Amino acid sequence: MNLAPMIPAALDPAILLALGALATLMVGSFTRQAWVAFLLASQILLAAGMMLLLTPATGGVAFEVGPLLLAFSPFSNTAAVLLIGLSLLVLPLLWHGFTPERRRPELAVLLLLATTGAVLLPAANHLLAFYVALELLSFPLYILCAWNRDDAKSSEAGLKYFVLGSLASGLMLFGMSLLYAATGALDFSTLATLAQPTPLFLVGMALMLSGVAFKLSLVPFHFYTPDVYEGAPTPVTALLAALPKLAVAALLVRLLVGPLHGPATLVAGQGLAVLAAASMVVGATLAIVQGNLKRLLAFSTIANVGFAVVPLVALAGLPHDANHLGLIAATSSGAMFYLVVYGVTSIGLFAALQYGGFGQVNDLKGLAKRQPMLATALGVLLFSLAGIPPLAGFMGKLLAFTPAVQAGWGLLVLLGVVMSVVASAYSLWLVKVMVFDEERGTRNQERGQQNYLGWLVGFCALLVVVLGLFPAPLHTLLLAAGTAIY
Amino acid sequence: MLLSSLILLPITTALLVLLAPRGLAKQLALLGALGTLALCGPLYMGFHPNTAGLQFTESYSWLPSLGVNFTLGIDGIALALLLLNNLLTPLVVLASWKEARNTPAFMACLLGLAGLVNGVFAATDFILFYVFFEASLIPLYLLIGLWGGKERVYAALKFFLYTFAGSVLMLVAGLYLGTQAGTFDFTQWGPTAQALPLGMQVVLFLAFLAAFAVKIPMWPVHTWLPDAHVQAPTAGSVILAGVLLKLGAYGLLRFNLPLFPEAVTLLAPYLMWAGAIAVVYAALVAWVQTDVKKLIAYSSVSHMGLVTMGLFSDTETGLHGALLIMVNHGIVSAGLFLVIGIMYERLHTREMKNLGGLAALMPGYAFALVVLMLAAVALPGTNGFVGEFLGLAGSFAAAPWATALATTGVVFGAVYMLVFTRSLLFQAPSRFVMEHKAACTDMNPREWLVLLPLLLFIPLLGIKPHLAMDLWRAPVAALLVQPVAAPEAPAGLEIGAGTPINHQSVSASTPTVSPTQP
Repeated sequence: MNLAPMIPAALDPAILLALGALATLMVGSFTRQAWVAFLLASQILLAAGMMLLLTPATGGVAFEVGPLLLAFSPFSNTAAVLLIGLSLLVLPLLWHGFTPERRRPELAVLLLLATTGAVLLPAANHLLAFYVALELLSFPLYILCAWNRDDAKSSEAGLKYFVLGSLASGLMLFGMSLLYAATGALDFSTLATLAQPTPLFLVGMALMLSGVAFKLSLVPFHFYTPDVYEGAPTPVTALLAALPKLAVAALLVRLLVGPLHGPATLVAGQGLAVLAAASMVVGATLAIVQGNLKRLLAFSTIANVGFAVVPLVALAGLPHDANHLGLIAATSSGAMFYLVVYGVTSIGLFAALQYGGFGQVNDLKGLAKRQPMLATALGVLLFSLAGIPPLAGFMGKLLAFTPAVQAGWGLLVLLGVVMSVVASAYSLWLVKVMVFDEERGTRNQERGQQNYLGWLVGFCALLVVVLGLFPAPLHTLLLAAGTAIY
Repeated sequence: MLLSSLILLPITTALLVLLAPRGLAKQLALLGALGTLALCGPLYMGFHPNTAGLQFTESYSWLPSLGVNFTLGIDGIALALLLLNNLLTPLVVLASWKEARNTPAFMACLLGLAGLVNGVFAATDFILFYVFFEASLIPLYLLIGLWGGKERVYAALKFFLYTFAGSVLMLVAGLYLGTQAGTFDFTQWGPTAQALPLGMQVVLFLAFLAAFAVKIPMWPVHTWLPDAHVQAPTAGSVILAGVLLKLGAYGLLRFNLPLFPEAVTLLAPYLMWAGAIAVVYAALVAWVQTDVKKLIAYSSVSHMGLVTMGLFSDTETGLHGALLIMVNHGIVSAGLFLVIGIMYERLHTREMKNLGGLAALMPGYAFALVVLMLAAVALPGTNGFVGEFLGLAGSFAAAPWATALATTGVVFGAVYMLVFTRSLLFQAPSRFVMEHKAACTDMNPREWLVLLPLLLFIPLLGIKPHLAMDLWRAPVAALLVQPVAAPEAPAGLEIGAGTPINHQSVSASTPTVSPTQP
């Protein structure tokens, strides 16, 4: 299999990212200066993003003969740009999140590699490419989780994520092989024409989707989430909450519109509906009883991914005729919008945790008195997380839930909004602790040298406000992408 | 442009107040509030009272992909409440002038709240309405939680979660109706809503009711109100009682009554009984309170019970009565909370056993309080009388027995208000008051300035209630003439009849409209 002559221009951004990762690794190894690597990584991310914006990737990539491995589309390009944007937001957090001796050039390399996987994932058009991209996304994350290797919790987080992630990968591979056994095809286009709800196909689909659900932290595949979130270094947790969620959701959109098309999607939709409902309930209720901020936000992720999957449930059952193109675009763009907003919000929240050195909920006590600006930004992010208008979190829920109601999933949406009230309780509780509670006794001073992180928190809060007041540009972009998923 | 300036001016001022130096905050806030009030002048002058249609309409594209627009417009009902809101805002800013814990953030919350509430009354797009309706929770949550009394945190959380839980049900109902009708402009939802099966109509009616019943608050979901009122600072209580409670009744008038007439006919008897129970129950509970602020809080529940009865009576008299009670209650309860605040600033207690004899110490104060009390017990000649009379008369036609029960509640109302007045003004001064005699100075000019506008409205609306009623005569008449079923289904109905609709047609049916103004 000779790939070299077949590489089309469409791959350029991904190749830039991958080669950039290698270059960063080389530069980092020779200079041993982390800042060089981080600077280089930021330029590479920017360049890849610009490249995607200026000359959107088109066409596909294939073996010499045979089906397309990757199929680029406006949808995959839009997702890629947004994923690169999220990585760019995480980059300063990675820099500030580690002590100088643990701040290695390899952090930037791993981020670039994970981004490469994330960017390729929404373009996957073949189960093989899907698997490879997902692993490329996941492996750097396993390593990053264990980055503070002297810290038992960090090592545990890395190991746990790795072992359970491998288990999920194994299940997924087994599911793919069953799909192959059922249809004899691996590429999405052929699968789409052969998809029949035979028992073999359905079991394969269920196993594959459980791997996807694992990456999304959907209940009941969520068990690792609180431990990994708690143990992983805070910047890595932010990355975990933002990057894989959006990338895997984009892939799920492609799966539901493509290879799982037809009667099989109806089953997939019902399965996802159960997972989404369970995630919303479990995430929202268990978040309330957490004392550790990162565990709290882990349950919040579970709930929020549940909210984001609601429109995808609606997407799953839709026929592909001209009458439903609008609704397909609306559901997919709703989910994507929600997860972009959620990614920005999480990055802001984790940056605030890192900035203030907050571990437990009680560390936030009296923050409004000590650091009013930080408390304001954090308050905006939390109100957005609770879905209070006019912030972006509300717009995300609106855009996610409206098409689901339109597609006839009103009851699931009803559960969703009821759970969003439950979920708002912990956000409000954090605001209460931060703003209303008096500080008891003295506490050690917050670390003050990481001043730039405060700007990151403020920037994320500003994005949340702007996306809430003016959601139209981003949503129009996603809606246009949603009309051209393949 | 007038309506959007009414929304944007207070919110912009709020942001400026936050950034301004600490010493200038309250002056700037007062300026913003007075500016907003001044904007109401052209609004009132340019309003044509003889039409039920929307006036001062504006429309901007906001979220075209979903068919959501930034559309504003008011009728007489909204105008009356807008005027009330913008009258109260400068008064509360002035009333909190000397508040010890007063900070720029406090003033910013007050002004932000005013702007958001203006938005609720002016919005004609459901999503926009919901955004303003919910966003108004944030400033009040902060007002209660930051500047409230001892149990402020509990009260703030309870207030927020109660109202939030109610309104998300409304959100789902609104999303459903919006997708069915193909537009989120709720003034066009009527035919779609009435074409739905009755069961669905009842469900949607109840979903909207959930949001508004909590806000009004109707018995038995009223329990957040006494907590919130008692803990809130004076300014918060005034705005809460004066304006925010009206949001619930306003919502009923905008959604429940015009959209689901059949469901109203079906459920009105029960809701009127709930209203009657609220009147009597809250009056009895108010009677036994020892905290004077809690007493007034329960009196709000009682009065809002009468509003509910008037609204669901489905008679013109009842609706006029309900609206008048809303306006009157906005004036009188705001005044009463201000009066309590003035007393609290001097004595730092609200317990009845600590009070008494203030009539001798503060004669001017006693005068203002007695005028407000007389309006609250609906003495003929005050504005309270006209409202309660019309409300009860209208309700009697629809539900005589429930109204009879409610009328006894009005008697209890006189009882608790007299108890309230006696305990503050006329009973023998408690030892506490005697010890703090020096603090009991009569009202200063600033406090008079705060109360006088409210005191003037009491006889004015008592003798000439038509000043207010003329504003909403046309929309009220339009509410009562309900088309049972539209003869021809409008365009939106065909799209949304039962099946999921094409999303593109949603955007197509609501084209971007350039700003217009009559």
